[in-house]
Amino acid sequence: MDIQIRGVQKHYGSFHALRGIDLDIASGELLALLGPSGSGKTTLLRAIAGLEPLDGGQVKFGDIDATGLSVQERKVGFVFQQYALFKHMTVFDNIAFGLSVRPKKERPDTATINKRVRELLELVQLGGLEKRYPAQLSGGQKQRVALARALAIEPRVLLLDEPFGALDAKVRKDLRRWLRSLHRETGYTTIFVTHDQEEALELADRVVVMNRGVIEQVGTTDEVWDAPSTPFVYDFLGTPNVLPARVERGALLLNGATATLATAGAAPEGPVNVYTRPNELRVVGDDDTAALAGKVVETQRTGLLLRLGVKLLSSGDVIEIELPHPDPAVQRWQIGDSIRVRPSRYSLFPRAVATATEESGYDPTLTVTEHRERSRT
Amino acid sequence: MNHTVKDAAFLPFEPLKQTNSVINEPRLVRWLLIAAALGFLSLFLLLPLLSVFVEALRKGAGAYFAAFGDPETLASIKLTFIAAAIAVPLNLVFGLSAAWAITKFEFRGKQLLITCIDLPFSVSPVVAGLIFVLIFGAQGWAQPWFGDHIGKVLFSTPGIVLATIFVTFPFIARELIPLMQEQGTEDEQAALSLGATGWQTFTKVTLPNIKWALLYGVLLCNARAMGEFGAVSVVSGHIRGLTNTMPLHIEILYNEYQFVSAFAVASLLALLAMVTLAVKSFLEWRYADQLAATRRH
Repeated sequence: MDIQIRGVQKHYGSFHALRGIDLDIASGELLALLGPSGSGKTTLLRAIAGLEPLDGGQVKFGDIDATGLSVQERKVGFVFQQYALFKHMTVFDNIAFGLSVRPKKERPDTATINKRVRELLELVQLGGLEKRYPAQLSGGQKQRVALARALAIEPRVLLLDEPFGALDAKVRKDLRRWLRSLHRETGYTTIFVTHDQEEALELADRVVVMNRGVIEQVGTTDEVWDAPSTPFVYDFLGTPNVLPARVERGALLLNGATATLATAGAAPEGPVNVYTRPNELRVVGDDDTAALAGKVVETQRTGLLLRLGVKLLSSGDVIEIELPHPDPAVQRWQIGDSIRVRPSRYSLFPRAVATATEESGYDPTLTVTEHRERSRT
Repeated sequence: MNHTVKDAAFLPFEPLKQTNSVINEPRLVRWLLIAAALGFLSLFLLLPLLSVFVEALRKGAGAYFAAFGDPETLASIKLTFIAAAIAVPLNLVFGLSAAWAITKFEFRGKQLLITCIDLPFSVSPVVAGLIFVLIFGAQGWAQPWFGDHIGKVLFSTPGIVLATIFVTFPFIARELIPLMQEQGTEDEQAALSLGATGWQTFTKVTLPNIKWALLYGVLLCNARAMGEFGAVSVVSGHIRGLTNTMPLHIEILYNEYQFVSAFAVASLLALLAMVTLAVKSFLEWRYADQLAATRRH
């Protein structure tokens, strides 16, 4: 079932958790809500489920306006971060719960419930564990019981809050792959919340990047990765180099350097930040006049990549470059070597005139990622 | 946590007894600690309890059981049970509602409610009794209306029940609040999202989650309801065969030098307390696996 979200607002006291969210989710889509903590992603998920009353806006399931519907009436399958399994019930009873609490007229008979629970147990690969109690299960198994329990009510939409948050890395990877195939098999419209960009990009058809109660970008993995639409998305999906620059008469001037680059599209005149990822910088020869000159100050080999720290001669900033290592064209770089680099790919964002907080180096509104980014460069 | 797991991998190469040598005290210290605890327990708990039974049986089993043939004694036992039978269920409902409201909702005056629940613990029972005398006594402000429409409150069963409720009402709420706070509301939210009604959520999810704390609260509440002396003494009026509960009756018998009877009734009260504890231990043993399952989370 497709979902439409229009102008959704939510406040917690003075904290504005959702600032007018608009989002369309196609039927059968697997969508990730990605963002740092406090970005509003879980609040949005709970708002869709009806677990958070809204201060404004509308949520529609297909043609049904769900805004005024209670949690029960919305028929969503919600998987909680800590699973919220009923501790005093067996796995079987947990999964059967949604069916057995239905009013008498709608309740399937015992045989049907039994059959349905067994099917679900097979689906989540927990056949034979129906008599266990939640305390006797591993984290991954609990996760799958919670999923089966949510699927038992044949929900309009499946909502998962940080589905892999409480699991260790190995289990997480397996479950991710398994969830992807489960989604293909069942075809439920699925929304999951995560703060792990790798998880979101690997699993989801589309990713919604959220920050401070607004949606920064919605797109496929390729779209958000190749064309981040805001500095935040750039920062959140990796660790870009940020170079202060100016746009003058259609040409991009990197601050303090003579280098000019063709501007990507019609960038506004004035101060800008050039965002470029470490793997988007190319080492070029002396004849390239548009290149940035610098000195290698750090080399680090990680697997198939060589990471170089380059101190720019013009500004003294240290930028990071990633080069494929076993490449014969790649020189054996030593610390102190002179190097010329050029961004092969980059994005421009207008730079706000520096404010007092920015100069002091601490801006309380920044996210953790942004802080990390600031302190790194 | 990680450290212990890592270290455990090397353990087979080391003698096992060294693993928790840090928390192993010398044998002498251990013995001294155990002896101190046991000695204290026997001196202040077991010995007095034993002496109650010894005194009660001093003149033989015949005299002991004869004490219970006295109609006034029987009336006091009956009254005690009536008071507990009314006070405990009422406090059960109150305690559950209060704990539910405090732990599942945010509202103004929550802190005040918590403080008020503790009031009976901090106020002397005698003062609690006097409150009811002030309200329902001959000059009390509620007495004219109550006297006309409902009947006598003070110096009769309703007064005793009221005083008992007042004194025992923190027990169940106090037992439930920390547990329900710890458990949060996710289970309930899950039940609701699966289509359960509010009542189904309460009976199928909330109640099973708190049943052990609830049972413990009820047992404590019951023990106190039967044993309450101060507040009940003030409102009872000590009318023999009518408004004397067991603790009050024991005092009267004792003051009249009827030691065997006094200790016989006292032994019954003590026995009730011991049965309560035994029931609790039995249930804990019987449902140990369930208890472990709920606590491991």
